[in-house]
Amino acid sequence: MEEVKATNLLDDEGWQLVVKAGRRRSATYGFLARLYRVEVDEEFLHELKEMRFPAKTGNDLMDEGYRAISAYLGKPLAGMELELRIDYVRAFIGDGTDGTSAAYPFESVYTSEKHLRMQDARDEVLAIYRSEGLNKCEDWHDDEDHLALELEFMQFLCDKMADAVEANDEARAFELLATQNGFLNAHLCNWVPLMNDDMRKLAKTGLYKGLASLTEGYLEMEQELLEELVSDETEEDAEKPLAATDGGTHE
Amino acid sequence: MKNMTISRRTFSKLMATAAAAVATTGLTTGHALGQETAEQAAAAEEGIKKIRSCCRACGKSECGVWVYVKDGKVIRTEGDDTCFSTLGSHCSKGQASIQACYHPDRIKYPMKRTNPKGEDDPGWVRISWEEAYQTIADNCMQIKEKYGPEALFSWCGTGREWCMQSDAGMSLQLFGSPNIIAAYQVCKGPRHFAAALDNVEAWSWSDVDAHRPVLVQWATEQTQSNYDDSARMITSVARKAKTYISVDPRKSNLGSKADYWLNLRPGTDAALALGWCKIVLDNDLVDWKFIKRWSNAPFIAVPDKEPAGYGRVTQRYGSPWQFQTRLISEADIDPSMVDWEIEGDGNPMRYIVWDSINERWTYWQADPNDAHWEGEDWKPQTEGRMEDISNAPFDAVAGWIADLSDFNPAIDPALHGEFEIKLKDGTVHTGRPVWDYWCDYLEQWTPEYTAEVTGIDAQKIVDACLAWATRVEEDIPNAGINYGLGVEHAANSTENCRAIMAACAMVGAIDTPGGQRGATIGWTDAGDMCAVLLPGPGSFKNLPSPDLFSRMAGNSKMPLLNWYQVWADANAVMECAHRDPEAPYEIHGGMIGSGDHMNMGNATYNWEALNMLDFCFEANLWHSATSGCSDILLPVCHWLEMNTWRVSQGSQGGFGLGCRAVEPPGECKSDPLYFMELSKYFDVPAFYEEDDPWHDIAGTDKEIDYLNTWLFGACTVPFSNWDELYAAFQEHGWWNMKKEVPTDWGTFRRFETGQAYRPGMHQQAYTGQINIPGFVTPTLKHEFWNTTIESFYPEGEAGPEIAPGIHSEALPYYHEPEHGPVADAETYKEYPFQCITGRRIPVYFHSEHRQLPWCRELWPVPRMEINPVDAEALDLKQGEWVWIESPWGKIRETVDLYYGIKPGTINCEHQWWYPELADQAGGGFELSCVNCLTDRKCQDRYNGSSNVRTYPVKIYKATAENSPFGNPVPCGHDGREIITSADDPRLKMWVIGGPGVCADKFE
Amino acid sequence: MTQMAIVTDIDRCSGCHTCTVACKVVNDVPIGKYWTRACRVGPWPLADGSGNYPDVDMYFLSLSCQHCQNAPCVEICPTGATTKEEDGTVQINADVCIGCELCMTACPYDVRYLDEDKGVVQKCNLCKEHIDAGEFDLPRCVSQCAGMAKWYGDLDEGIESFKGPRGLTLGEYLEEFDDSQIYRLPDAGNGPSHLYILRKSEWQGCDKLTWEGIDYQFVK
Repeated sequence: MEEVKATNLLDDEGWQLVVKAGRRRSATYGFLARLYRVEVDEEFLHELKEMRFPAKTGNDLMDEGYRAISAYLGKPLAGMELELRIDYVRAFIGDGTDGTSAAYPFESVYTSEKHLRMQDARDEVLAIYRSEGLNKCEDWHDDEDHLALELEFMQFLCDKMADAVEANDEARAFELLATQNGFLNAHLCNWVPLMNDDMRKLAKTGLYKGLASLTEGYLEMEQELLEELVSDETEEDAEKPLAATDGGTHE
Repeated sequence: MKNMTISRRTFSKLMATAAAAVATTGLTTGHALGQETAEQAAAAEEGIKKIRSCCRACGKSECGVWVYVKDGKVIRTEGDDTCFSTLGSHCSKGQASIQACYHPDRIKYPMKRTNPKGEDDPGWVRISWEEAYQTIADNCMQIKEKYGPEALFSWCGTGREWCMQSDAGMSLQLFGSPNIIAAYQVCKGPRHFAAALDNVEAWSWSDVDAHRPVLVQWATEQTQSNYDDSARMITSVARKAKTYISVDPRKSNLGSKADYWLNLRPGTDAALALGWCKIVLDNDLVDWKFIKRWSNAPFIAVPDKEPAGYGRVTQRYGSPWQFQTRLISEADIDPSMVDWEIEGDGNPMRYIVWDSINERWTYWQADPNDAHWEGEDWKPQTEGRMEDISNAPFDAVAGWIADLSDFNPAIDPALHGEFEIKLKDGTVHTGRPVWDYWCDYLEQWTPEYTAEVTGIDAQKIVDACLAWATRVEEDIPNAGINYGLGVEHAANSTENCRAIMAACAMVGAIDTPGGQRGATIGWTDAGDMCAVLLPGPGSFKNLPSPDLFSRMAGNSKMPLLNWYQVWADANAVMECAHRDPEAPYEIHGGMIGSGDHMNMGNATYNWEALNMLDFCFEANLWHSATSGCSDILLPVCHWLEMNTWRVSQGSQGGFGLGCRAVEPPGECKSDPLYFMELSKYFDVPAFYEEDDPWHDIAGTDKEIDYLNTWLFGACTVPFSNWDELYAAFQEHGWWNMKKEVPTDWGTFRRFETGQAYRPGMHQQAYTGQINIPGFVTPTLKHEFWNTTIESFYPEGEAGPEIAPGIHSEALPYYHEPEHGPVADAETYKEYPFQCITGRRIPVYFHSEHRQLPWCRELWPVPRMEINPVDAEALDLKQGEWVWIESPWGKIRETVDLYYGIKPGTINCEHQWWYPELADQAGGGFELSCVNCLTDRKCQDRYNGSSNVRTYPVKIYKATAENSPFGNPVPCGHDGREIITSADDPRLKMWVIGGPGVCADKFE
Repeated sequence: MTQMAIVTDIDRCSGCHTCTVACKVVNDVPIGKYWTRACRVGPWPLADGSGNYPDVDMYFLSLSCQHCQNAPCVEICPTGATTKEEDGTVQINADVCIGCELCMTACPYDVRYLDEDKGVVQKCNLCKEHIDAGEFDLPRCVSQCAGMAKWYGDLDEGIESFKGPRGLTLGEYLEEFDDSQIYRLPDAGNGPSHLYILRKSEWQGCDKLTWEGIDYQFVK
């Protein structure tokens, strides 16, 4: 499909799509974050079993991920919760001592030269959270660069972005998209795919193996999307005076 | 206002992303990221915080350090130069603290296994603390009900918060079991135990920091171990001393600077000490006043009478024991023997002594409530002088030295002679002063004989001793002896320690500057809150009576352990756990620290035993070699995350704090905290008020609560609360107990001022209320003739013959190491090398830190020191792997050609396991842990310490033919090699874009 | 001319590795590489002894960049990345270094290494960045040495003036020594700046070394 350079998209429908996508993106990030944050408990397991997963997303990894998750969840319920708890530890915590026993869900571990927690990455993401008035919750006793928090941050930004659009604050919406783009590239795509790779090697259940592919694929999708959204605003466009809508549509 | 435009492509991506989302209901709630609180925002503004604290990268010295914190994260640590007791030392282990604290593999959540022990994959899952506590309590209670309280045990090494006995409270108070296994039994315990027998518990520690003209370092290389003085301190003392004497079978690091190197045969420490005693005697370097007035040297022993005595109680728990001795008291004699009126049957605490001045019998009354010489109106000594600290660092503080007092009325107790002793039953015996027997025994310990036994050149023995014992200052000895770990490991630890202490006593170096003065007495007791014991009157409800100690495993074999009541014999407990048919009962559950099966007895046997338990839990920061046999793991804090007090264990005199620098990660709790919480599940109140057993007030920081209650209630810290103390510490730094408690720690020769008599725990908060002259022995004297040993071993068959046909174990005596080349010459025919072990590696603390790259890169594999001449005969090259095989096991280590060790002797490293093999239960300890080689049944007669040094081995090259997997390099169960060099990719840090975790780990 | 240098009192060095690790913590030194290390020298049999134990001697030699007077690395560097600074130290400009490793072949003491991640050569810089930024007063190995064996200052001011931990100077703290007991590493004209004090033992230069349990030789 040929790229059609924009017409200004000010009409409601278009904006609604941005909002809708934003909310959906938020939900996806929230979903992923939940799976990384703690084990699947009984309640969540029931919810998972009820879920419908998209068959074709346009991204192979995501499709693979959803398939694996869905297939796993289709198995009988008996023993599933315990199995998932064991696999959670296996994937993210490990039982070794040599620093190579798990897909540690901490950016510092993957990006610091010393392979330790609480390194530069943690400081950087903390500063970014702060710039949006956020920090870790009181009952979260782990590091700030845990993948769950980074994904929740993206979730937060999606919601805020959608709110901003709804409030007709386009500047803020764009700002948030730019923040998302920056954060995604600097603090998710730089390490999560490696971590997902390790997850696939370490986890045994389809849920966590699938989660790895799903995450990796979703970040790919996000990366492409945000790059587009952010680059669509050219300098030229920025200097253009407010243009009246010409009611143009796509397609 | 900007216009946002989107292209068609973008539009379609938006569509796709909307469709790609999964429909979720509101149940994916809960989150970890939220609105920033005011507190959190404030933290960002703070910049770099500098926190004064106390390191615990080992468990030994109390090294003052600075911790730099930026925004909730430690960025570095460094020595606190103002800490007078450690001089700013912060060793390589301490420097690597960040790597430990932030290691990705730290256990951060309670875990339980879902697969049985023995399977490769434990199937760990996270559980809540509540579930962990409940599971532990349920299992332990069940075992207790079914098999009795002694079916439970605890086994711990050096504590994480402080030092020794870190989990005795678990056994005593929660389980109600006397089976406390503590590494203490093989490490420092024998020294403390022997000192408790001879004068005061733990007075084995000497006042090294005094920077005396002479330093005698007997075993232990503190520049590597910081045990118990920091590297900087001991280096300073050694370098500033006029004479530095090193006693060590091998040439050690700082030891290579010594003026005299007494290179003794391993395990012959008592022989050397006895040789020194004789030199002191022959050269008239004895402190006669101390000997006569403060030791039981002048007491009269009658070897051929029945021992007699009375009932006493143990120092710690008041359990009854029968004291009996052949030292003559008023209660033994026919009243006609003496010229005073004996009341009733005579006082068994009045020991008669011959007064040479007045030529009559007189007595010493050893009653703590009324202790005095006949006619003496004892008052604390007030005459004395200040210590000369001109050689010490600029921030040292001088103490006050009490003069040795004179007898008043003047007497001169005879030290020699034969005396007619008429007993109550009418029989007449010959009695001689203890000193007379002692000198008799010393006769044989000429320099030549001592040289023969120890292998040290006779002249060197003499010269070194004379340098030590010839006084520079008239009124005090030069120093005592700083004796360390090596003397405790040849299964003759009690005697080695006693003989060394006897030498110190002979020169009068008991509680003098540089002399033996024990644990710092200051504002607090031992620095290990509640992991040792919970406070409060209700806390012993599970310990039905002090008699429970008589149920300790191994008691019948080692009755003095029931007198001491500090540890149960490790091997005996393991025999119970192993369900050995000869064990008194079975043990089915317990608690283990980190890798402790490797520290005493035989590691292989211990491992088997641990795997037979019904239930075992471990509290640790890592998956150690023992997590493979544990059912539950509890995550505990790193020192950077703990608030506690730290008082110098030994004679360094420091008091400071460990200050929490950062929040513990995940759900880690400090040992004291979890112990307090766990107690509730055992229905033991953890706090003072019995009717309000737990301050379950929301928001209460239990640890701070406890600190406030203990430090300012039970102890004598002169501040009102923790916050105040904390602030004062940050400002002021370490307090010197010599300055703060001048009438105790700031006073030398406290036996003269009445403040030495301190039964039980060796470290107690100062009271100044003791006012009893002398020591905590039954005679209140320093005991050359040990009446406690005598009580439990009245036949004395293991000791020398002191009278025709009569043996005694009361005097210090020499006992050949059972598995040394003399006593065990037969075995050495096939196993010709004498193996010693245990010397310190600077970057490790026992089994700790193998997984920290900054440590492991510097010392990748265990090294066996072997003389190059021996190596050549065996065709061994530097760095090669060799088998070291004893009659009880075999392991591999690498060759280190070392001229500093005698031909025929090798020095292996201890406590090796391999974290890179942590996925197999035991972590590969069987490959290189040197205690796989030991004879677990060879133990010290009195305290049970294991024979972990000085035993026969044979050595041969590891080859493809004789090694598993055809690989001389040790491998895991799957043939995977261990890490052997700093270049191993497993040690290398992560590379962005790298291939992920080691490919060789997975299919 | 200023020449900052370190004096190490070998009679206080126990080979405890504190300097190595302390340096790593603050200088981001990669695993397997070191800016400073204390190698074991010997034990070797004494010339006038029995030829074996116990007539042996031993000490530890602390090795790091000697910030030479006529540094061959400076001379050979093709890009000018390695320079001799005004304070006498030899520094590497990582932005200029191309990682050709010529300097490593020129260095007589094997103290340089290629940082594979960064593609540049690294070595001890006497904590110059930290000191210039006011973060440290002394190089880290000096301030953290667990034997108080290291002292830091300007050779031109005389070593008595050198500073160490606890606010002390070498002159006021160190045990006595005389000029005959001061040594430098073997000098092939490069003029190593650091000094070593060794009083009784016989100086072994760069012989008889082990490091990490392996025989180690560094002199070319």
